[in-house]
Amino acid sequence: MKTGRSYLQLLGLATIATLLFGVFRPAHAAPQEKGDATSQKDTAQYVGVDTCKTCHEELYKNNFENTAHFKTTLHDGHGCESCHGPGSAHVEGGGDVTKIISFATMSKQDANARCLSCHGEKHEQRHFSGSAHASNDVGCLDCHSPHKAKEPEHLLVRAQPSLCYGCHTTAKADFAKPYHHRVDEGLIQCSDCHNVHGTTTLRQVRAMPSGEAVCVKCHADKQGPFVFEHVPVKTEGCSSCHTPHGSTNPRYLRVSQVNLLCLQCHTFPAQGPAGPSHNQSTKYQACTMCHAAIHGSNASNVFFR
Amino acid sequence: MLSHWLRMQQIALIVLLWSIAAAAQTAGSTAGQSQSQPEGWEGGGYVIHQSVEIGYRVSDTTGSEQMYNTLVDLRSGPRFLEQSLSMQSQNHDGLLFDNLFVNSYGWGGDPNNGLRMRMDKNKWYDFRANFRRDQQDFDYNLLANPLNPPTSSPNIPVTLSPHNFGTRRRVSDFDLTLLPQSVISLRLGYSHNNMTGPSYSSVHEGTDALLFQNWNTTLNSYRFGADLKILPRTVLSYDQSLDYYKGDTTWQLAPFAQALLPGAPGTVELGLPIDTANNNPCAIVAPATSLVDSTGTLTNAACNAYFDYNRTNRTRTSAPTERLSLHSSHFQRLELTASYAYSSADMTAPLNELFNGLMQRSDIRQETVTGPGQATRISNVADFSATFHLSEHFRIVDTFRFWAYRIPERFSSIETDWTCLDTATCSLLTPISETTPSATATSSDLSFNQSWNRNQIDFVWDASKHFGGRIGFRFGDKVFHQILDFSTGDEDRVVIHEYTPLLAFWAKPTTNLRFNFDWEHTNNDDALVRIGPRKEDRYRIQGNYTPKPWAVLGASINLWDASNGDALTDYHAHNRNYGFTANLAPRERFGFDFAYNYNDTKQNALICFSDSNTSLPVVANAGNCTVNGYNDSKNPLLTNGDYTSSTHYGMGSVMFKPHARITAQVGYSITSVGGQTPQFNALQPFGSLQYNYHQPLANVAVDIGHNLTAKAGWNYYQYGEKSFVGPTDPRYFHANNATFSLRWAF
Repeated sequence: MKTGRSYLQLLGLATIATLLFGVFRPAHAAPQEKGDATSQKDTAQYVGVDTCKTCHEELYKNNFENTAHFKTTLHDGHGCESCHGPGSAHVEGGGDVTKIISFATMSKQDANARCLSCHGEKHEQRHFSGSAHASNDVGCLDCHSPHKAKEPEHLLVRAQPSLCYGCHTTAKADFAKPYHHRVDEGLIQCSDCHNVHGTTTLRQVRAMPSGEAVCVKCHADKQGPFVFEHVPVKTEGCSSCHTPHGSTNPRYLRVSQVNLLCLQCHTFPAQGPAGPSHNQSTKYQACTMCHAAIHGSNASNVFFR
Repeated sequence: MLSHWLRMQQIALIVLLWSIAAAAQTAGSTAGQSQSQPEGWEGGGYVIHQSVEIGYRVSDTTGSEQMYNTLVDLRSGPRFLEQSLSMQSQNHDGLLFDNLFVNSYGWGGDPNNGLRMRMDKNKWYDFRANFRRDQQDFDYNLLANPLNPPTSSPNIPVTLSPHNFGTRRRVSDFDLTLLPQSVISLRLGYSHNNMTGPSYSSVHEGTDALLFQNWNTTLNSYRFGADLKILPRTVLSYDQSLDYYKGDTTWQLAPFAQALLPGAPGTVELGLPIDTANNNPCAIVAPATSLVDSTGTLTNAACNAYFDYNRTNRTRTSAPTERLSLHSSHFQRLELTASYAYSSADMTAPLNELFNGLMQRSDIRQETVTGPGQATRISNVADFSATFHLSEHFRIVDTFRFWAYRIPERFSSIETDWTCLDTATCSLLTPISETTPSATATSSDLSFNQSWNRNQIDFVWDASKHFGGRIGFRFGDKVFHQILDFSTGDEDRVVIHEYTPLLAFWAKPTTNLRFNFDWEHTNNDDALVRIGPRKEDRYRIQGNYTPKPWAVLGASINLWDASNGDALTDYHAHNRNYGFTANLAPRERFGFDFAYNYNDTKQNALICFSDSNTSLPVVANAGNCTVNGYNDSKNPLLTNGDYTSSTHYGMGSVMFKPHARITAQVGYSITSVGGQTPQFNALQPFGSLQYNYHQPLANVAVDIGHNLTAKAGWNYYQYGEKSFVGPTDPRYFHANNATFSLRWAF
C-alpha cells in the first residue's frame, strides 16, 4: 500500500511537471484582460473615466468614487475599465452592453478570474480558485458588490454574519444556542475563524503560522506547549470535545455531562488511556473538579494542576 | 427593584409618546421623504459622516442571577451604544489619510464591546485596527460540582460552580501595510491578548479544595512581512512573527466549608466535597453525629483538610515563526500557491506549590513541590495548492498540507513531605515540629510528536451557468508518537491512513433558484482515541430560492455521522441538522423573518465505570467489564454511554412601519432542548440536557427629524430546565431588559 501510494504520488508530480512545462505558457496578457470572455479586446481602446461618467455619473459619484476601487483611477489606472475592459466599442455602440464586460452576463468563473487578476495575489485570496466556495459556484459577486455594497469595509452585499447565514442556515441556529461564540453580538465575525476565500485546511478554518487551529489566537492559554499534553487536544483538535459555533451545553461541550465525555475515551481496554477507579455515585461525578488542568499541564501528568 | 422597573416603564412610555407626537408634527412638512443617510458635512477637505447612539439600559432579573450572567449578562446603566465616523478625502489626496473609518459599540458596561478602524492613503499605506473586549461571567453551578448530598452531616451544598469565573479578555489587532501597490510592500502587525479576572478552580490534596484563581494571561504577537512581485502575477513573501505568552495566574485557598479546630485556635478548610456517608472529607467519629458540631468545631481532627494552599506556575513561552510563501498565476491557466513555515516555541514554567493541612492517607502535614517545567515545540508546516484551468469549464485542483511537530518535555521536581512521626496520632493538631521532612526528586522526560500530511485532488466541472459538479479524493497520513518515559522506553506509536472520496454538485435552474449538494466519506484505518472516528460521512444539501426580489427562502440539511466499529468501543456519533429560513419584505413598510431549525445529536460508546447506587437503571442493567476483553476490575460495570439530544430552534419577527417615521419590530425565538443520557449519580439533574430558552423581543424606532432617531427596545429572557434542581441553587431565571436610546447621525 505504501509503495503503491508512493508511485501514485510520483505519477501525480510527474503529471503536474508535464503540464507545467509542456502545456502551460506564461500569461503575457495584461492583468485586466485575464478571463476576458466578452470584451472586444482586439479592437477596443480605453476611453477614460470621464467618458464613463457622461452616462454613469450617478453610479460613479454614489457607488464608485467613495469606494476603495476608486484607486483604480489614480496613477495611470483605468478606473471603470480596469474591471469592465476597454470601453471605446461600448461608447461607439451607443452604450451597447454586449461590447463591454458585463459581470451580470459573465460566467462565475470569468467574473472570479477578473477579480482575482488584482486581488488574487493577496494572502487572503490566494486559495480562492481551489476553495469550497469556488467549487460550489459561489463567486466573488455573491458576497461582494463593487457598486451596491451595504457594508463598506469589504464591499459586502450584507454585513456578516447575516451574509453567511443566507446559505449557512445551520450556523445561524448554532449561534442562537445559549452557549455560543458571540458572532450575533458583533464580537467575532465568521471571517475571524474561517478564511472564506479558501485555505489548505478542512472547513476553511484558519491556522496559526505554527500550525495550530485558530482557536488559540484568543484562547492563548490552551496553545502550550505543555509538559504533559492531553492527547486529543493536540491530535483530534478542540472540536473533539467542543462544538465551536454554539452548543446547548455549557462550555460548548458536545455532551451535557462531563464524566460521560471523559469515560468515552477513558475506558479500558480498547486503547489507552486507563479508566478511572472512582465511584460515579459520589463526588467523582465531576472529573474536572480534580483534573482541573484538562487542556494540558506543566506540573501534573494527571492534570491535577 | 420592581418600583424602579415600573418607573422606567412610565418614563419609556412618555418618551415614546412624545417621539411619536414629534414625528407626527414634522410629518406634514416632510411627507413623502423616506428616511435616508444624512449628507454629511465637509471639513478640512474631507466628507465626514458620523453617528452616535447613547442610551440607558434597565435590567430586571428574577431567579438565578448566576445563570442570567452566564447567558445574558446585560446590566442596568447608561450606555454609549454605538459610534461611527467616516472621513473621505474630497480630492482623494488627504494629508495624512484619504479614508478613515471608525466604528465602535458597547461602551459603558455591556459584556461585548469593540472598535474597528481603517485608515488608508492610496499607494502609501493601509492601516487596520480592532479592539475587542469580552466579558465572561460564567457560573453554571453544575459544572465541576461534587453534588454534596443533603443527607450529609453537616449539609453544605455547593451552590455555585467551583469553576466559575468573571474574566475580561481584551484583544487588540493592528496591521499596517506599507506601499500596498508597489513591487515591494511591507507588512507590520501587532496583537495583544490579555485576559484577567477572578475565577475559581480546585485542587486535590487529600480532599478537594476550592481555590481562588487570579487569572492573568497575556499574549503579545509581533509580525513583519514583505511581499515582492518577482514576476508579473507572481509574489514571493516572507513573514517573521514572534509570539510571547505570559501566564501569571496564581492560585490560593478559598474558603468554602470552614470549621474551628478542636482545642486549638484557628480554622481549617474542609474542602468542597462534604459527603460524610462516603467519608468525604473524612469519617464522623463516634460519639459525634456530625463532622462539625453546633459550635462550628471539627469533631474529627484526623481529617483531610487545608490550613493553607498556594501555587504559582509562571509560564513564559516564546515562539518565533518564519514563513516563506509564493503565489503565482504567471502561467496561463495555472495558479500555484506554496508556503513553508518553521516555528520553534520554548516554554518554561517553574512550579512553586505549598500545601499545609492533613493528607490522611499518607499522614502528610505539609508538602511543597518546586521545580522547573520545560517544553519546546518545533513545528514545520508546508502547504501547496495548484489549480489547473484545463478549459473554460474544467479544472483540476490539488491541495497539499504537511504539518509536523515534536515537543520534547521535561518536568523536574522536588517534593518535600512533612510526615507525622507518630502516624497513629497524626492529625491537624500535629505541629510541624513533630513531623519529619523527606525530599523526593522526580524527573519526567517525555516527547510528544505528530506528523500529518494530507493531499486532496478535485476535478471541478462547470458545465454551464446552470449546473456543475466536483469529484475528488483526499488521502492522508498521520503518525503519532508519544514517548512517555525515555528511561523505560514506554511509548505509543500509531499510524493512521485516511482515504476520503468527495462528491459535490450544484444547480441553478433559474437565476433565482439554486441547490448545492456535498458529500464526503472518510475511512481511517486506525484511531488515536476511542472517539476518534474510523468512518465519517458528511452530507450537505442547501437550497435558496428568491421567487421575488423581496422574498428569500432557504433550506438546508446537514448530516454528519461518525463511528469506530471496534468491538470493545462501538462508538457512534451523529449530528443531523435540518433548517429553513424565510425573509420576506413585500413592502417597504412590512417585513417578515422566520427560521426553524431542528438538530439531532448523538454520541455513544461502550464504557466501563464504577458505581454503587443500584437504584440507578444504568447500574442495575449494567453488563460486566471484567470479562470478554475488557478486564477492568476497577471499573466493573459495562454500559452503552449514550448521549442523545434534540434541539428545536424557532424564531419569527415582524417589522412594520405604521407611519413613515416609525419602525417597529416584534419577534420571538425559542430554543427547546430534550435528550437522554445515563444518570450515574442520583443527585445529578439533567441540567443542560433538557430545557427551554425563550427570547421574545419588541422594539420601536422613531425618526424625530434632524437626523435624530429615538429607540426603545424590550428583550425578555427565560431559561427553565425540565428536571429537578439537584443539591444546588435553582438555575431558572427570567429577565426583562429595556434599552432606551437616541441616535444622531450627521
